[in-house]
Amino acid sequence: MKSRAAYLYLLPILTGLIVFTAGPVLASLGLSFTHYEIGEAPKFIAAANYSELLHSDLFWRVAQNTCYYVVLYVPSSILVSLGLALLIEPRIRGIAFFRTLYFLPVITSIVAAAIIWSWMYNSDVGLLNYLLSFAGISGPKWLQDPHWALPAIAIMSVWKNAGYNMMIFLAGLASIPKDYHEAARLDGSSAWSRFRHITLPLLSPVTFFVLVVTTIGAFQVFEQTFVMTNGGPGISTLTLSYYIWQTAFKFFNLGGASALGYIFFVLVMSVTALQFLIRRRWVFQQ
Amino acid sequence: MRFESICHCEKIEATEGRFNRRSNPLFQPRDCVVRNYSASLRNFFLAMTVVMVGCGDHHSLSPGKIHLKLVHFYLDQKDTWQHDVIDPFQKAHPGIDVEVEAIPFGLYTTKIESAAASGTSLGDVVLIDDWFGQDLFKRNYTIPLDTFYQRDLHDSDFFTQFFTVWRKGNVPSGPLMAMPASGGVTALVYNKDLFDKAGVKYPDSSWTYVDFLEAAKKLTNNATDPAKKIWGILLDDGGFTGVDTYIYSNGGKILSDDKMRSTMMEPTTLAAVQSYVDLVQKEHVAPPPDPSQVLGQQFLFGHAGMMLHIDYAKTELAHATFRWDLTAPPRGSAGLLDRQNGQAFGITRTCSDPDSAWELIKWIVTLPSKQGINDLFFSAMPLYKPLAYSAEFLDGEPKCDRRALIAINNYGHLFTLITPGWQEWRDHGFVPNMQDMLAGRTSVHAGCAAIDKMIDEVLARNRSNP
Repeated sequence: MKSRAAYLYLLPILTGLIVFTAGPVLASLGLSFTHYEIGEAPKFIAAANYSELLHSDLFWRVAQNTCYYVVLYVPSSILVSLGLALLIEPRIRGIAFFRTLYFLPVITSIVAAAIIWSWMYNSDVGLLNYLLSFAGISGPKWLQDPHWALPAIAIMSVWKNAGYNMMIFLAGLASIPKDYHEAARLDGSSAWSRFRHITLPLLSPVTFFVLVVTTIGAFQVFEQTFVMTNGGPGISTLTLSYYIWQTAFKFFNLGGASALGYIFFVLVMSVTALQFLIRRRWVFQQ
Repeated sequence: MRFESICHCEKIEATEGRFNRRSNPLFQPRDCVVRNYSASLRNFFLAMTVVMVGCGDHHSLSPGKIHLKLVHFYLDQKDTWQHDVIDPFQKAHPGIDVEVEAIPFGLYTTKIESAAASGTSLGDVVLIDDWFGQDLFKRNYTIPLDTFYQRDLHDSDFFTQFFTVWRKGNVPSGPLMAMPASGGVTALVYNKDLFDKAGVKYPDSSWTYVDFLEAAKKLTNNATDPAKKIWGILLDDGGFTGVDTYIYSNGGKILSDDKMRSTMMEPTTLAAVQSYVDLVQKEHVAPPPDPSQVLGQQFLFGHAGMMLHIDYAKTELAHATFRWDLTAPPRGSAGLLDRQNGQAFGITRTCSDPDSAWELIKWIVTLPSKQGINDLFFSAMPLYKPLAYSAEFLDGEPKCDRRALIAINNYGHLFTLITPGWQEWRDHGFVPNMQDMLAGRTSVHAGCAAIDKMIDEVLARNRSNP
């Protein structure tokens, strides 16, 4: 009786999970083997969607854009958030203000932030190039130049999300026993040496978690390109998530979008599996 | 209140003033837990019912009357629609009761496509934009209106050049699946202040693209400071708000006449695209494209003298801080070929009383009172001639030379580029490659070849999956 009641309580969330998550995931696998436009019955076309995508120049260009963004964003995001965490870790007077300050972008609306950044990136009247001009640097046409557009989006994303990883790193730093640092300090170890040989290894499980989560998040970049560049200039900022959205909800090619979704899934899974594979080489287990 | 929200058993105890820790469900006997759960479920469903009933725009049905539901996306003009269209219609047709639902434009396409997909409909009479109309017609979402139209209306009263896109298959012989109400064309919008400052005569409908280029050269200044830079022209970078009219008027064609294949690589098209790109790369009278800016932004900020843009731009320019006007686009080697757009009203196939629905549509497109006609369709030209030539429309706000646009119907040729999958080949082929060509990142030949390939791929895929 007790267990039945428990299942009853679980029923709403299980129903939601099955109807809105598991069901669509399985259904989209089936749809990826069909030609399916909204309003028409799906027509089985075997692996034609996959074949067409894999033979499409556009798909490979989009995949390349996405990977380039991940390579730009993930390391810089981790470095910046770790740096910020180290900066604001000491419990000194007023540090809560800075912690809040650095976390503010995380709770700011991504759309609002993207609009503001696109103004700041304006090559003629934007704040960024104005500031660079003081250093005698003629800033690039950030969002107009296909070579700069994706790095510009990555910079904006680092600013937006660094605070989140910073909090995780802060929690990780707090969990490192102070004894290790004290002992090393007594032995005359330098600050860099303590960071290199104590902090980094003991923080590596947290770093691994941040790496995995940030990489998956980076593959999913959408709002920034949607708001700031619409995938342009040319198709230089067209990323997989945006491409899937366009294919599904703008071009109403749901079969193609489902196939893209599964290719995307395999790509993200492969990268995550690779990260887990090489984890043993650098993650310190206490 | 707090006690009531915990559980049914508690409520009884609390009412009797005997609430204690044992009334918490965790401390209840098992049967009471299940009973509590059932009560919670019941309350939940009751609450949901109340919420669902409370949602939505209430419209009480009048007994004995025919009930019609009109759905449109003129959210900001909802009151105008009610006062100037629906109320007078109901007064003139006491047996018909009209409910209106205004859906934000951003949601409209998704909603109507979803309705078409599920075999339901949003209402009895629906507003349709030309760019998604064929998707609905393909699925017979609306019913043919030829019989009604031929019975009650006359071609001579309408600008019938706009009608083809509302016929199934986008061909003149197709059945009329929605009744066109308003139409738009590409216009040449210009900043009068900048023209006066440069001492250039205002453009008019006699202009050719030679005049256009000469004026652009005079309007463009040499300022290096972006805040002071004035460009002669602001170009559309591929979004079909000017570039298509330019190419077609200058002898090029993006699609074959039957819209079955790309014609981007034909010599006349390559030449037309080259001359368009030259405005940026060779003549330096237009800025390179900036995808981070909304199209028209530099014009709106007074940094461009002219812009080829769909005539809906006039509503956005209503609050411009400079004097402006619009006229017909210049004529090229092929004359004036102008891309059309527009909106129409269709009767959905689930409508139980098509005759009454047609009466409503007829009322909307001919609007006997003419009142509000300038606001009803975002200031777009009504296709019913008596309305288009009415003072209410011609002198409506924002004031501009609407006569020049209406006159295009007398000497220009209108075309459309709507094909199955057209948004895909535009967004993934036309726009990015046009941006690359205008920015000088790729040659016209290479850019057009890439567009050509993309258009043919998309059209072929849609042909094989009709």
